[in-house]
Amino acid sequence: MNNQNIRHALSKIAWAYLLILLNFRINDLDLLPNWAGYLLIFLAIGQLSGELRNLPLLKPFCILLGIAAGVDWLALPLSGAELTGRFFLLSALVACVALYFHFQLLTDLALLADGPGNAPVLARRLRVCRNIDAVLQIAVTLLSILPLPAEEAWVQLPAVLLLLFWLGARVVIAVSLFVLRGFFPPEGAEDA
Amino acid sequence: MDNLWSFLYQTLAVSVAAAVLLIAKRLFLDKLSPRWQYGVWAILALRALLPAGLLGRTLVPGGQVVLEAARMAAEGRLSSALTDLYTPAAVTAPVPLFPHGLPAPGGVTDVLFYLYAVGVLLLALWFFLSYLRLRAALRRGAAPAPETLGQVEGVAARYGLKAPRRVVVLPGLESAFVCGPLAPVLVLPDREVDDKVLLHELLHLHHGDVWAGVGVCALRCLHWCNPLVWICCDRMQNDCEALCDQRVLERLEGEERRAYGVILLSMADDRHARAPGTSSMANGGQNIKRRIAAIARFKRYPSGMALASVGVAVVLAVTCLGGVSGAVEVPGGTDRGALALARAQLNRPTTAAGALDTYAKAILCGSPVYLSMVLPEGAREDAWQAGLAPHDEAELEDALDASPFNELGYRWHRPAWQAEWSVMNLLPDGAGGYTGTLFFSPLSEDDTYGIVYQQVAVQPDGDFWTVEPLGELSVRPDPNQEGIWLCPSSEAPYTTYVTETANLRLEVDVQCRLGVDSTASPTTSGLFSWAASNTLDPVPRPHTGFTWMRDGYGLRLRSVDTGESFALDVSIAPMDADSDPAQALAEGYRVTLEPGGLDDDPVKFSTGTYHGEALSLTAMPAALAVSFNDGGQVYTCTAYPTEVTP
Repeated sequence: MNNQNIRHALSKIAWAYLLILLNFRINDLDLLPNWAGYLLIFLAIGQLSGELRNLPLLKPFCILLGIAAGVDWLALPLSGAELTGRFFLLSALVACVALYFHFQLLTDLALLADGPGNAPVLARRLRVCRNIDAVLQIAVTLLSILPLPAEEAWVQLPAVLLLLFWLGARVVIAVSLFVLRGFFPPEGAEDA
Repeated sequence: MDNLWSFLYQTLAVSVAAAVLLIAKRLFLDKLSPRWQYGVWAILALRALLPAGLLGRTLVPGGQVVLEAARMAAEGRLSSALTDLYTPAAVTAPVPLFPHGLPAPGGVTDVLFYLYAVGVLLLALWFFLSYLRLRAALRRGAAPAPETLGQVEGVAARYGLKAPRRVVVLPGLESAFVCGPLAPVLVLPDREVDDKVLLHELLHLHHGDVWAGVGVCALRCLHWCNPLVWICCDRMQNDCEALCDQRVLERLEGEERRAYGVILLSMADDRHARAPGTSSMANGGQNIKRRIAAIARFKRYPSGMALASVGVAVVLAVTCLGGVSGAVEVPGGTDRGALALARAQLNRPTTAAGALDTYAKAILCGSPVYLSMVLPEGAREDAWQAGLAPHDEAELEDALDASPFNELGYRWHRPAWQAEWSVMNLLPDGAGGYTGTLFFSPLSEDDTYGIVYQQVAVQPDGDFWTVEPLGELSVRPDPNQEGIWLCPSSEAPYTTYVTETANLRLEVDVQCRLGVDSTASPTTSGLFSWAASNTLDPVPRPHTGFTWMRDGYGLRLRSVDTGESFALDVSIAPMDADSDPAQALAEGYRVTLEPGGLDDDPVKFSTGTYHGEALSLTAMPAALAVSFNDGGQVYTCTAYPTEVTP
């Protein structure tokens, strides 16, 4: 595996995190669709499979999450609501898959950062962010399932804070992946 | 579970949870550890222990409506002794109960429920007798040879496990197993047993897996006729063995692990007959194939994955145990049929205001379905039958022509006459309910005059409230077309409270008009939105409180001796019959009045209209605290209702 491939794969995953994180909607049409993020991750998994042997195990989940995101992306402008949100059992199963998928993906990327001559500090940061991301994802999922009075301030404030923390964690993950990319210079640059 | 329908509701909830868990386990089959694969079944066990519909939550939104419709369709033709036609199915406990004894079955649903209950008992009995038979067989077993006992103790000591108190050798046995949750016995075949097999059984003993087996038996008994539950129980027992394999492999090294796989393979063709209250390493060829596949995936799952495993389990647990709100939509004004009736029955009014709102909407929409929500049981049958019949447009036309609202020229806006309802003077009836007069008056912007009214009784019925009409709907035209002012007004009902001092007789006429705001703003947008008029929201709000209230007062003060009128300011406050009037005046809702009648200035003799989500003042007070100053002397006394003017 050459560094160029790893660089490209890490760039794709970092951009994918930003795509999944950000939603820019015009008339319910998301111009930064989540399915595009999962497509990028799917392509990156293929590029990193030589370096990280367990990573291809995530392909089925990546396809599943991409399809769910694609269906929701279409359903929102067509019917006014996300399809998975209408079926709470399906929504919970998708949340479980997403939780595992991101956790395992970041675990594998931290292993890449741990590799010889790379960045143990960055690997530690990725693992910490992975844990924070998982905890916040669980909390946000539970908030949407538990019978809490959504209009009460004591629910709204923690919910907004949780979402902000979660967004923050995802931004740190994306930035860390861009930084990690720097540890894999193009072959030409290495020679120089 | 006290009838067939509550059992179906419970087993449906368990089935949905089982299906979700099976899908989740399939998704994470090669991704999460055997500990997770086995531990996640605890969610199903808890689900089976929790009554379906607990705290108004459900796993199948809409499922209860379908079940309720099926119940009403089936029970309507039967005279079931266990099911009340008018009470929605509810699960009070996760086991079959007979709170009213064992009445003779009144229909096929009763027979089926008795059959289910007998099935539970017979299966439990069969499990118990199988266990007793096994224990009896163990009593005939031989004591192990000292070297066998030494081997068992050696394996236990080597792996830091507790040796079993009793070890028995049973001739003809194919594989070792542990028997009995309370006094466990390690049962061995009468041939040499491998250390790894002993380790497997000792680990079952160490982790109390036999107790889990008892739980599985209980689940099989309670849902004996649900094949999905049986599939899950089989998977649970196999997952238990797979977890035990994992625990064994974690304690073995290198070649020993391969040897353990070979031992399992050798058991693939063994006869498999699992007895209740036991755990056995050999559990059938098919299951052993799955376990060998799990061993092929064996790895020490990274400790960091614990967070993801727990997270996935927590999300699944909250989903399967908590569900979503089971609130069912109230049917529309023209909806008919079994599903509409089911939705109506699941939305019976829980407040007096909700009952009145439902009854008023039933009158305005001419909806038998709404009537079935609110009429007392004795009067519900006709509404029920009419609600089951399909909507008939010709019948509606006739009903509209004959309606008192048509007589007064009220506006009809499908599906309801456009009118505002209010209730005057809700008087406690002494049995927890109220009587009062229900008024229908035109919406403020309609060019319509005259009112429709009816005496009603609002009564509690368990957790719900009912409305019983005490007379026919009456029409009061308004020939002057000036509008009929209802409060304060002597034309509307009022109650007179009276008290006397040594030389003064004081009479207070009190009116209280209550209602629920049900007007919907126009939804038309654009050029013509200004021309659109308000309409009535025809859907009842069965759980609402009163949202507006207006009061009216009249005061008369006369000399007891001469009958001469007095002019004094009087403070009054509503209170309970036996409360302290001074305290009520100091702490309660206090109004200061001057003498005058209900027909005098309405602004002067009313404290106004109050709006709120759920007004606490809903009934006429049992008494009034009264205070006035006469010649420097302050009098504080209690006035009781003496006269009701309907």
